[in-house]
This record gives sequence, C-alpha cells and structure tokens, in this order.
Amino acid sequence: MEAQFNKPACLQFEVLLEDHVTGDLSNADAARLADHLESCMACNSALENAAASVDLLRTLSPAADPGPGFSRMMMARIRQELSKLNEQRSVWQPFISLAWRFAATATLALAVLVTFDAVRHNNNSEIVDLRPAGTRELFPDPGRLPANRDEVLMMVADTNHGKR
Amino acid sequence: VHDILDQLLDELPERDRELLILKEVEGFSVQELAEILNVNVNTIKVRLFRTRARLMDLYRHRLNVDSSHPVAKGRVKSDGSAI
Repeated sequence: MEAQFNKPACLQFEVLLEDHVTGDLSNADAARLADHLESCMACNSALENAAASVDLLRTLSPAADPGPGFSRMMMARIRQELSKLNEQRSVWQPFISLAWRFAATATLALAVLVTFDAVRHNNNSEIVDLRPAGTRELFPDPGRLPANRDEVLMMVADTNHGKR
Repeated sequence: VHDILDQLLDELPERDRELLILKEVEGFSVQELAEILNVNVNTIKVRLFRTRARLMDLYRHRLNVDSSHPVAKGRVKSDGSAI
C-alpha cells in the first residue's frame, strides 16, 4: 500500500518553515509566517510533520551510531561528487592545458634562439685578426685561419699564388 | 522506533537521506552543507524541510496512526518511546 502524503507546503514559505523548525527564524519572518499559517492548512500540516520528525530523529542520534567509517565514507563520496562537478565544469580544461603547453614551448624556443644569437654574436666579436700585415690578401677570412700547412697552400693557390 | 526509523530512512531517496543524516546525526550546519554540496543555503533548507515532512508521512503511514497520536505529534522520549 502506498503512503498517503500530505499536500506539500507553499514553495515560497519552505525556507521559513525550515528556519522555524530549527529555531533560526527572525522576528520579522516569524510574524510573516504566522500570518500565512493562519490561512494555510498545507503549510500547517507540513510544519507539524517536519517538527515531529526533528524529535523523531533525535531518538536516532544516540542509538543508531553510524559507526566510525560513516564520516570517512560520506566525505569520500562528497569528494567524489565534487570532482565530478569539477570535471563537468572544465570542458575547456584540455584546450587551456594545450594552450599552456604551446606557450611554454614557444617561450623555450624563443629563449634558445635568443641565447644562440647572443653567443654567436659574442664569438664573432671576439675574433682577433692575427694575420700579419701584408698577408691579409692571402687570408681573406679572418674568422677562419688556416689550421695547417696544407690549408695555407690551398689558400695561396685560391688567391692566385699570392699575386695581385 | 529505532528499527522503524532505520527502515523509513532507507525508503527516502539516497540523496535526501544523506543530507538529513549529515545534518541531524553528523551535526553539519546548513552553511557547511551548502558549501560542501556547492548549492545555495536555501536549497539545502528546502530539501531538508521536504525530507523531514516526508519522513514523518512515512512514519505515520508505518504506524498507521493519526496526527493526534503522541508519537506522530513528535512527543517522543529519547529512548524512542511515546511520552
């Protein structure tokens, strides 16, 4: 047999009714609710039910101890629900993550390029022209001096045997 | 009363049962529950009120008593017996 439920309370008064049950109702709201209760049987009935259930639940607290694992279980479930909510909210998270990776890679590449360019520039400026006077036609590239005798000969040959 | 109450709580939707137990047994405040569940305080209050009212409806139905009965009126001792 199905339980017969009372008519539900008025939607706009449910918060006040709950406050009344828990004793958190302000004076102004109490007067407003009292006015309403004078003419609303559904709210009266729901309030009576809710208030009675508070006393009923009080009997539950000392006897039916949910056990030490209950809080842990509930908090785990709450965390699970929250993580689900967070996942639902972060539809754009993969794109944001990808964008950050691109940005990081681009920054790194830029840093490498700038460093490489600076080092190269420094190396060029540090090259000292060690060629003796009068032999500069033989060795036109000051950045690359001949390493051995063969290279000297090759360079001399390339510059028309030292003839002008 | 305890056994009946346990059974009645089982008849409630799981979400409402957990909310009611967190409030009444675990002692969480409405504000804490609202923060944990990431909903409005008033939403918690409305859900709690409806769950309380429904629980008592189920209780009356189970005991088959009318609203004039002391147990149904909520006049219950802490050990679960009627005053």
